[in-house]
Amino acid sequence: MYILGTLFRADLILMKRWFAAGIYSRLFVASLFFLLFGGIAYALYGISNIFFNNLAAFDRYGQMTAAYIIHAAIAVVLWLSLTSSVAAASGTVLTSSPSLTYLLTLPVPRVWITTWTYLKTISANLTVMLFVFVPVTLSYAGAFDMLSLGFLLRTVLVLSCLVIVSGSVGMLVALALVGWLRGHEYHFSVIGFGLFFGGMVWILKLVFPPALSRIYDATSEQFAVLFAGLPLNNPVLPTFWLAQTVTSGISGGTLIAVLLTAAVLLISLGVQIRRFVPVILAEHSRPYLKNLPEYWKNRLSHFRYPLLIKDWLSLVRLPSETGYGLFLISIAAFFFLSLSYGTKNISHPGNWQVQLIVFSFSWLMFFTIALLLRFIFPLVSREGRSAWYLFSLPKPRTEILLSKVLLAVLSDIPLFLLALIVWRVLPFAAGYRQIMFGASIMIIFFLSLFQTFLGAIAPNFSLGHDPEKVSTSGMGILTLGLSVAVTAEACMLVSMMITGRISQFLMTGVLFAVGIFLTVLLWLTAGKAMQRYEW
Amino acid sequence: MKVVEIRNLTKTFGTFIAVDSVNLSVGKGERYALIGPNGAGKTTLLKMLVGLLLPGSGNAAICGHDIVREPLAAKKHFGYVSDDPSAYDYLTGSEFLTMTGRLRGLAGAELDKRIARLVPLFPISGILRQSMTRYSRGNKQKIAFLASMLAEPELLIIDEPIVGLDSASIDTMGKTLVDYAARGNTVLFVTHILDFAQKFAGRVGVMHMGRITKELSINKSIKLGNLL
Repeated sequence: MYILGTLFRADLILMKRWFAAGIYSRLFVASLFFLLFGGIAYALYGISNIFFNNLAAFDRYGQMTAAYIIHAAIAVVLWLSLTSSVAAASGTVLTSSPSLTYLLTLPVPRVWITTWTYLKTISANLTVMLFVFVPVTLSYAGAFDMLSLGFLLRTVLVLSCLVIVSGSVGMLVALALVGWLRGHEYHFSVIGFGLFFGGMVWILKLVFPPALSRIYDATSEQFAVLFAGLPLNNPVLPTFWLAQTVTSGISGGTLIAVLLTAAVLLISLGVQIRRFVPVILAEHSRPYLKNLPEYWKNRLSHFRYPLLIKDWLSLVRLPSETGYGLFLISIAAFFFLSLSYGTKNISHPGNWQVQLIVFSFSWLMFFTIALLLRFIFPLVSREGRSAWYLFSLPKPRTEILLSKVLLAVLSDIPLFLLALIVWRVLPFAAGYRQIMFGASIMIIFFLSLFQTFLGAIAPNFSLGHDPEKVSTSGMGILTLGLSVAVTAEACMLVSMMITGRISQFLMTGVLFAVGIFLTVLLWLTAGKAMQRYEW
Repeated sequence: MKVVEIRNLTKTFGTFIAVDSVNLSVGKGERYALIGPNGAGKTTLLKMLVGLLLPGSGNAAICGHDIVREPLAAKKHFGYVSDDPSAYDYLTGSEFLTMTGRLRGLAGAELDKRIARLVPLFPISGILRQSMTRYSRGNKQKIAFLASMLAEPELLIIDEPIVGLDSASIDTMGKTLVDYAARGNTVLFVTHILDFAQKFAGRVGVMHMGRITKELSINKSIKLGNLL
């Protein structure tokens, strides 16, 4: 226990040192982070509020439907959390973090190394999930006058069960699979992506069966029959017990769920304590000498922009990056498919169309910003320890920036496809589809340019090996702020256009003008900053 | 015209003077070694020469091109290897050499020919198609060294050429530098290993606290070990 305490104290010291290195700037970054998460939580709360308040108009039937949606959300969160845990745990085992590698050289019993790693993962997951899930349940409680301390505690209890179960099972699956993963990361990434996406679609079909769309127009008798027949309304499902705990209170099901969670936790921890460290050591000791095909070497020989190929390989050759990108894109696709299922054939009150368009647009931009901030913003910083090579070559630094811009534009393609899905599958009025698709393409394009240039203004080469840290640095947060401001302005213009306050032409014109102005400004600033890099 | 011409070059970091009014001339065909204790300013001096650090004051030129006013023209005349030869772990050695050639204006059969000529210098042909993630420091050093010679520049600038190399490779590295200079090129390197400088340098500059305090030509009567 003393060792565990020491390890956590070391984490605390690391955090304190991070703040001590520049107290005001670090406090600023931390505050911005909280503001950002607070903003996301508030947005989720606001959107859910509209949804649940609409349902509240249907009295008891509305409340039952809302409870069903909460259950659906639990099922979805469980699947997402489970799959992301498997991916994250596999990453932990396959890639050696310096702190973990160092720890393995010390006489620290494996029980404490395993427990420390596990507890950190669980608490991080729980914090993120709290920000995502609690606003939804809070809006549910607000809409149906159920808000109380007991309700909040029940929500936290349910969320803890979800996170613990998914984290525990995720690590077990990763430990079982990791032997086959090494050397076949890409094949497994594709298979994993297929399983994840297939599972998502299956859950969607399960959650939103055709009967659900008929429920809004059903009579009381029909409602009772249709509702009872919904697939998630099965009392033997563990997620049913968890949903009941949130929506109706503690019951026998809650107790069973908690006991099951405890059992999964104990079994998983037992296996982890025995297998985690040996598996890591075995994986890191295995020779990994594989000749790569000459395809990219031949492309490098002939393609006009060899730097573009290099930057492309820097993304696709790292399984963790590819996996994260695929994961984020599939989450986004999943989100919009869910939305399309959920909004299909339901009755549309007054300004529903406006809300749906602005809601979809803002979420499309949210996913766009998340992806760009993680992959495009750190492009220059990613040169990292190899920056000596690039910046001592007889190449103008503007040419180096150009390769980053080209890659950013290339990376927009999956986002364009996502935008196509959004404006094709959701039930929008036909007149808005094309203009919104056009506006989305334009904003995605400009956002990718902004992020590339902002990433070049003050790159962090020392964090180049860890793009996640680059995107959460002070400059990353500033970039996030600018991207959010541009998106907010775009959302406002879209809303004004749909409500007829401005024309489509004016909306497009203003978005284009702002985009061009900021692009030129940031391009010039980045070009100038690049001449001053020191390494 | 000297290949390297440095006049009163200075670099400060805050109040710390890393390089203090250094003057240095290196001519064609010379093998010049900078030696000195840690923190003497050797790496900082090289980094200014290759454009990774901006000089505080003074000036420097490579083959007559000022490193600040004409950086691209200056960079065309040298190949450089950093003291940390990490370079794009996600590429294979072969891809890295090909990319370097392309970025230095080589292509097609000529590029392939030069790579084929350089690779046999070290026993690395077996690992060329493997990702550099798994390369040892020594193998990274060899690949970076070969890349620096690919375009056959007039000047090689190498920071710590033999760190991480086995004894056979150290010998190969030294002989390659000697051969390279014998063909009318210039070699400027930094090293802590006095034996290496003694064996393979033609002239040595001793750096201490940001200054070149002594310069001497190497001959059998001089023992570098007595200088530091």
